[in-house]
Amino acid sequence: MTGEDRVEDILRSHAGSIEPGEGLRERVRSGIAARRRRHRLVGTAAVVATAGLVAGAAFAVAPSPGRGVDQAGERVEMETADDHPPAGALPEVPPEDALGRARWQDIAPPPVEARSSPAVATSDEHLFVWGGSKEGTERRYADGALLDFRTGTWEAVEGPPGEPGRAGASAIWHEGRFVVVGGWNGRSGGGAAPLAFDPATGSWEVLPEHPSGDKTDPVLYSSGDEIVVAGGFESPAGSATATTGALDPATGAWRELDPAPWPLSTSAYDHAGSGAQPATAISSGIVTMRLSLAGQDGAAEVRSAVLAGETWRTLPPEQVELATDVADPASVTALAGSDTVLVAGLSRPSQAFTFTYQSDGTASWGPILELPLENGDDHMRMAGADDRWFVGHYGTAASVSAGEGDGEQTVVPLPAPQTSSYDLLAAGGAVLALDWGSPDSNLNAPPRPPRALALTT
Amino acid sequence: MEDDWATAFGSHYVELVRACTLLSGNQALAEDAVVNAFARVYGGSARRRRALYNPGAYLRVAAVNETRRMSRRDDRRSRREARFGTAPPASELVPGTAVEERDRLRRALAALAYKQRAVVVLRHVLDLPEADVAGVLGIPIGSVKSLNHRGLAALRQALSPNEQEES
Repeated sequence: MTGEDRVEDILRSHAGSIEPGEGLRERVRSGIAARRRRHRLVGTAAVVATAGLVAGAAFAVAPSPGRGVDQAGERVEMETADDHPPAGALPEVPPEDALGRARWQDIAPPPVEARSSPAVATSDEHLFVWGGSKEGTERRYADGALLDFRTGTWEAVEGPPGEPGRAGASAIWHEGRFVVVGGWNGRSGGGAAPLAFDPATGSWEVLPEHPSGDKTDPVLYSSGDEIVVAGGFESPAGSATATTGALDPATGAWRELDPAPWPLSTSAYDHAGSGAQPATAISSGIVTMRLSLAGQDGAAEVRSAVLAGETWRTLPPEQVELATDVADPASVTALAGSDTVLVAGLSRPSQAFTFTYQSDGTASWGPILELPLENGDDHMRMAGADDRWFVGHYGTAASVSAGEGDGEQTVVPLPAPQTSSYDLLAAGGAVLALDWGSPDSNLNAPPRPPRALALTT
Repeated sequence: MEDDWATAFGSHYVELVRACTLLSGNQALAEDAVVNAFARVYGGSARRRRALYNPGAYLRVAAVNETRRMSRRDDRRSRREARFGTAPPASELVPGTAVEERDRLRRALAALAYKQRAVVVLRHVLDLPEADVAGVLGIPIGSVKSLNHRGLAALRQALSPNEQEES
């Protein structure tokens, strides 16, 4: 027997002596069930209204040929054609240990004109983008597009008849339809009634307006049969509000709920400079935080509130010590399906911390993390995927792990799309960067068409 | 609907637990990694599950990745335990017995670099062709060959009684 054979023999003998423990099947069953529940929550919670208003350069990353990416998130270069994912399928979110070699790969571009502030929402199957405005003009769009995650292809979506178009609307996937709420249509006094789009039939339904008027950039949350609509601005030039209501799209009925403890919206950009920044995330409820910055010494008080059921619960304030050059906190994203929120964009260079809401009404706070981003401000974008976040800002980006067990967290620098006017989304099993482009009317940046990229290895 | 994962579980869980145990040196961790791997592969959307052309390949990739991720966390914990003096003492085994030989194998595997260890385990325990090992680890076939060669040589040296005595 050669040395190699003997080693192989011992290896196999040792492997053969390993017997899996009892109960593994049940643990696998539970693990799959838990993840499927969590996955359904991702579809419910994934809602973003965009504020991509600032011009930037075009994406710097060149398109590259597709590569097989497996369902578990690791690159797989299979030998047979049958093993490749379907043509056009989106690249899977890279696993943490492959993020160092991650890159952005072009996918089919959205078939829409360059625009600002479209409403964006995702389901298990689709990404929906609708509305927005043409920067530097009074034009607002009533059209949009639908990305099919299965095929990686886009389909144009026309708005409902008579819809003048609107910017600053929010959207959410709810009970088989994308529901658009609020937005500015250029008419003071409302008229921006909620709209429900059914991707299966391509049909729209116009729903009743909110009794107290429609807002721009409201926070949406799918709760049972209803969509909770919280905050938003009275108008593009108006103040943020704390009103909270619930819409049942099936019946068109609205209910008023207790107002939030402070004004909130999906648009951190519009709160910038207020000195007491509300930052809001969607998790298994609405989590909103208000950070009051105490001068330049880096001390900040964080107040937080959670919409649990139909009432807002305010948690005890927390003091955090940030870097000395503190900017307004900018942006918050939630780890979908859990109660952990990453708060980032707190200073220059950027810092972040995590906040976990416990079911007993208490909260725990993670350590301050230094992000490898040039700045933390209101143009940051964040997305949650599985157990980590993706944070982008202009030409820099990072991934932050959620921390497990002992709460350890890691930050991984990523290549970044070289633009500020984009959204980061974790959807369809992928991390997507969506650049809504720059119209020729924008005097601050050269024109560029919309573009979509996916993070891959 | 259980069938989509139950069939794959029946076909693959034993080999996955064995491979991950050899990769991590820790069966409990390996079983956790296998549970997570099944959850990753079968816990996603129906679309993702429908796209599973080769569940065994996907499960292997997921299990290997999970084992690596969890091993890193376990390593950090071990270092903390060692620092505070709470790590378990090394066992004293009778030389020349099968148990002692496996213990030496376990230590020799642990001494290999992760990719070297993974190549050896995937190639010689799971009997995967070199191309599939390359696919699982995301490395070129040439790297699989060289890592396998060096890994086996290191194991052979560690398991050879004569060379052990000489060293």
